[in-house]
Amino acid sequence: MKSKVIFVLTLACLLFLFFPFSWILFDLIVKGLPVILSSGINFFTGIPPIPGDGIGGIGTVIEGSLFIVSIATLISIPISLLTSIYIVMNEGKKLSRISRFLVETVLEFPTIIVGISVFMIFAVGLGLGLNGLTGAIALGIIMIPYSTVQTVENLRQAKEQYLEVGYSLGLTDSRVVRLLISEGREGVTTGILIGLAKIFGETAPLLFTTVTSFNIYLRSINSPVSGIPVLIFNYAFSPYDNWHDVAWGASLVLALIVLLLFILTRVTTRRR
Amino acid sequence: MSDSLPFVFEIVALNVWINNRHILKDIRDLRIPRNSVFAIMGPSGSGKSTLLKVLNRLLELREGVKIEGEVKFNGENIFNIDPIRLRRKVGMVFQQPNPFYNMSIYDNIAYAVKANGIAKRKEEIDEIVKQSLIRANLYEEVKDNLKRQASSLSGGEQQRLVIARALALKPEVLLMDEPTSQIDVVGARKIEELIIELKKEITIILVSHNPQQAARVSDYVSLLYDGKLIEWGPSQRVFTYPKSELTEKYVAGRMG
Repeated sequence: MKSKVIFVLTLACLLFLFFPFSWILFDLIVKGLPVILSSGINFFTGIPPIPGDGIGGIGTVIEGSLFIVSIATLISIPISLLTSIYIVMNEGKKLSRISRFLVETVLEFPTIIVGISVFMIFAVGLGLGLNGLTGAIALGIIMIPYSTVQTVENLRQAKEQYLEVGYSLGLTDSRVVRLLISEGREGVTTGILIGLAKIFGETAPLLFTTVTSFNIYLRSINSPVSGIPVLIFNYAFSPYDNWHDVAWGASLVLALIVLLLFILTRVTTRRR
Repeated sequence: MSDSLPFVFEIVALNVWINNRHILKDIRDLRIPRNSVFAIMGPSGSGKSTLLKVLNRLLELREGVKIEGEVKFNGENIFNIDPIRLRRKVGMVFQQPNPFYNMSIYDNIAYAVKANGIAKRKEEIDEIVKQSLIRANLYEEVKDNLKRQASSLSGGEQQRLVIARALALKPEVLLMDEPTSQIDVVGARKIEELIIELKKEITIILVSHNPQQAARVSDYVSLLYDGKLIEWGPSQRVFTYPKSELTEKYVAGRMG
């Protein structure tokens, strides 16, 4: 009897959690899918419409997002990998504990503050201006703690399992580190994917670090460039019906990208 | 240093503390004869694994370890030998089979061979991989597909792969830390047979908490109890006429 009550309660909680998620997804599909279908492949390659004139596409911001996110990833991978190696190989030492604490704190840091700081330091202070690179620096900084936390976790497992093995085979310190990365590489990949999923949807930092422009394809690193979430933010609050539709379509695309990244994360962690 | 010495290892005197706890207490005059199987027995917590990891200086990787004394490998104090050089001569096999799961059978063996610069040409490495698998009695089971992931092997096969991985570096000594305790009976028997075969070429120091196993495979045996060396000698003598009452109890299975 008691276990039945608990079962029903658990199920109720599950449904309660499941409801908003499925409602959002359902709403996105109902409102977004027709928009994408009506524009076809052009939705992924084209230029956003002028007010009141059709759907067009979000090719410019898809390109922008991919560009910014790629550079952000290139910036954050070496930093988070080196940080993780330091933290794991020096466990117990003060600096390692401090680094770990810092990384975990930055993880919860409001991303809008990262945006403002990067604007002040890089865009204004160092004169980088508002462009894809500055945006990528902001997103890279946001990504670092996400991938670091995950990488630390997995490197630590690899260390537990293989540190003594590596040394017992007469490997040098640097070879042992390489062995740990090689055996913990799913974790490193997972860390990067989780970081990617996080920064794909970030709007606030891009508002501070890029010029909001949706109508130009990328020509150089200094081209005005923007991302999918920024377009959603701007178009959803515009007074034009067709822009609202574009925002719904773009939201579905963004949701699917993030969903895909999480599915990939599942796949990479499922081994053994 | 010389290979002609009758003993590979000689523990002149040894004390070990971990986090200020006295783990190995004044172990003296323990000599490990070349080309033999030397078993270290004792109940859990008696310091068997600690002693083993002193011999290839793996213990020193841990925080809070203090070692005092003198241990000779081929007549040379191990604490004066570069640990990397020492470990290439003194291989180790652990309790839990731990092949590199992200690598193929071939790469598991080739990895350290390449990393340590033992061989560079592919044909050379191929030959070392093959010979190591043959020596570890695994070749027949895996020769058809060396590119298979190591994780596809059974526990016993994984442990023999790990032995092959260690043998590929041509060690003089192989330290084995309860190598059969996580393996099924059939797999364990194969490893015991392998141990007896291998002593023709190398010296094996085997930690075992199972007196029957020690009696089956070892030429010499020692008993550790609470960090102290109770006695050691030829297995036959120790098992038939134990000098210490503790040994008698342990061998009879009334302790541990």
